[in-house]
Amino acid sequence: MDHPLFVFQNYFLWFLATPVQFYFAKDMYISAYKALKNGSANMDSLVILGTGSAYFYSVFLVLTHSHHNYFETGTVLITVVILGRYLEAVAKKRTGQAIEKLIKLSPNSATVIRNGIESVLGIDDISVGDIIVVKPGEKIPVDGNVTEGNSSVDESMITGESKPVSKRSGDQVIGATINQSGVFRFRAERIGKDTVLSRIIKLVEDAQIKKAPIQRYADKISSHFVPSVILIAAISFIVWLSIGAGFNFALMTAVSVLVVACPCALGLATPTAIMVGSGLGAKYGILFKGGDSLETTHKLKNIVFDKTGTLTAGKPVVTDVISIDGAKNIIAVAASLEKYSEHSIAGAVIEKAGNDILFYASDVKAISGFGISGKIEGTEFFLGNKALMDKIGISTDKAIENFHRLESEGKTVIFLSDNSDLKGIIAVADTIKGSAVNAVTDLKKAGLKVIMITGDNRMTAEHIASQCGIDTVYADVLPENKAKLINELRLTGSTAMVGDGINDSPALASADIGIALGSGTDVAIETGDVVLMKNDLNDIVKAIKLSRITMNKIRMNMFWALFYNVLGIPVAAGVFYYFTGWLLNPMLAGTAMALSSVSVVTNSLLLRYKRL
Amino acid sequence: MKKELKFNIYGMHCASCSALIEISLKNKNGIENVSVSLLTNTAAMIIDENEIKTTDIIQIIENLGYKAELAEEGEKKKP
Repeated sequence: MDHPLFVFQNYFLWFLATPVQFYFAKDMYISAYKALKNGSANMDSLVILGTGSAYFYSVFLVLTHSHHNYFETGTVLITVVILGRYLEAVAKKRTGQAIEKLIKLSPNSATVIRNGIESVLGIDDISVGDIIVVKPGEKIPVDGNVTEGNSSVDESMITGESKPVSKRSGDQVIGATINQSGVFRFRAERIGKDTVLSRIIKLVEDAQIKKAPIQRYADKISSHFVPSVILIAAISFIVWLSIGAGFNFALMTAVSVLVVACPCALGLATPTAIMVGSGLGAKYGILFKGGDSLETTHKLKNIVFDKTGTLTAGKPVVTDVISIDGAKNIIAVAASLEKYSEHSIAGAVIEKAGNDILFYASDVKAISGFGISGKIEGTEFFLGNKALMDKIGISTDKAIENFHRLESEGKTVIFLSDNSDLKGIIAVADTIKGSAVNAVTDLKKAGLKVIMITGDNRMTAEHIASQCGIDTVYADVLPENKAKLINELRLTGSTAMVGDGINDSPALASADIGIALGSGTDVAIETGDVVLMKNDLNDIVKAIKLSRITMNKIRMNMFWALFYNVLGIPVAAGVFYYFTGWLLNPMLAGTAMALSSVSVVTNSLLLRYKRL
Repeated sequence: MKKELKFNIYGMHCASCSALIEISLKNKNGIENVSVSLLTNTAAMIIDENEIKTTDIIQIIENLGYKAELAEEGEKKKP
């Protein structure tokens, strides 16, 4: 006969274990039951099966007046599982912090002028067309165009650009960016979900939905995982029982197997890394449209650049000014005439003149197809192409060598003369971006084949390409053939197309990865799988790096999650027991399970501290 | 008419939960491109309104043991 105290103690344990087993774990029962009803099983099924067997076996032991019971196993397990889920939820929440930070960027109110009266309105009350006043240090509430005033604006939170951008009448301002010292007014153009900020948030959120291909492996394993574990637990129970290990031992190994198995870690391996990775990208102004593009980017073999506006600044500038026989004021005279012209070259000349004092020109006449003429201080000047000089009978012999040289560099050359003599020549060309050389060098160093594609003529194309360090050039390509060419290149390996999204969207769409470049313009956000908010080509290198480190993180997560299960399950089943005495106590098994998913999430969170 | 739908799902714990929902939805007529995200607790899909209703989808998810609600809807853009 048992000592009454023992009996009492066992009943007391039963009393204590029951609320934990049924009340605190009730959500698990509901979820396990519903899964069972659908002929399937989930994580909760494993926990319920494991702890339930321990509990009911203990009840049996108490009722049969056995000394021993396993109430503590079930209660500790349920506690550990719930604690693990809590830690996991906290960590999971942190993976989305980048998005939360973006949401918090949005200002709450704005000073609006309606009918001449200034009033402070909530952000939701602003309508398109409202005139908004922005004071020094204030956040710009929505997107729009400056109508009056000057200032510089810190746009780093949206574009990642660290230098303040100057704004004057007509310039675009982006909501959530911060005004520096000036005061200006702007007209609200895009509000609510149409603002650049809202679209970035949506893009980063949506990126989580498009799964990376690598995740399909995990999903596939997960869907067979739980039934397999139940099977292994059953086999382990039967085997131990049949070789005479005793019912207690057999049951405890089976419970250990049920609770050590953890598909969670495997399931979290990819999405947490993608979430943290895409958030890190957003911080740098590099937006991935989905897990798939984040995965593909690091596998790129070819990278194709559009020329105009992508590798080059996209607008001509004066590159050379050569005066003949010591003639002075070439640019000032040219700019004085060009002031009256709307040709794109005129803009370059006027910009070159900068703050130079211009002359007053009279009788300015455009000579269509040739150039322009006008009188300055009584002298008639002519400015235009070589044909203009030939037409008015001015010898270009003194400049002919330079002319041929400049033309061979892909530049457009214009001549300035008076009635009798040539005064000078000016060369105009589209110049490469400051970041182009660096980016191309880095991409080549990373083993990518860098290619340039353009509709421009071969001479100009080759010149720009050699400046950037690009060897492969496709020139004279019609817009509709760009996409065809991309498809051909894809046969040799994953191909990215880099463009501004304006006239090359078909090519961006046909590439494995379309990289759209642009300072937060609509088109850039719509097109392309990767959006670079800044106009900096070095961000392509960063995007590839981000893709690589994110994928490494995923592989590492997957390896540990798989390794953990592959090792944990046999140990729990007692496979090594005979050789080494290794056995996993169910409580320890449950703790290991809870920690394994927390560790995967924590490992993903470490990505946040990487520098690109 | 094809529509892109997003649902918020409550009660998913692990990858087998999301996989279960994904597989169950995938096998239904009128649902394409299902993607269930464990991390954001959402399910995104394209549905054919002539074949299946939003309430049917919520019902399918709830039968599996999870709570669901419609998050947003939008016309499917022409590719």
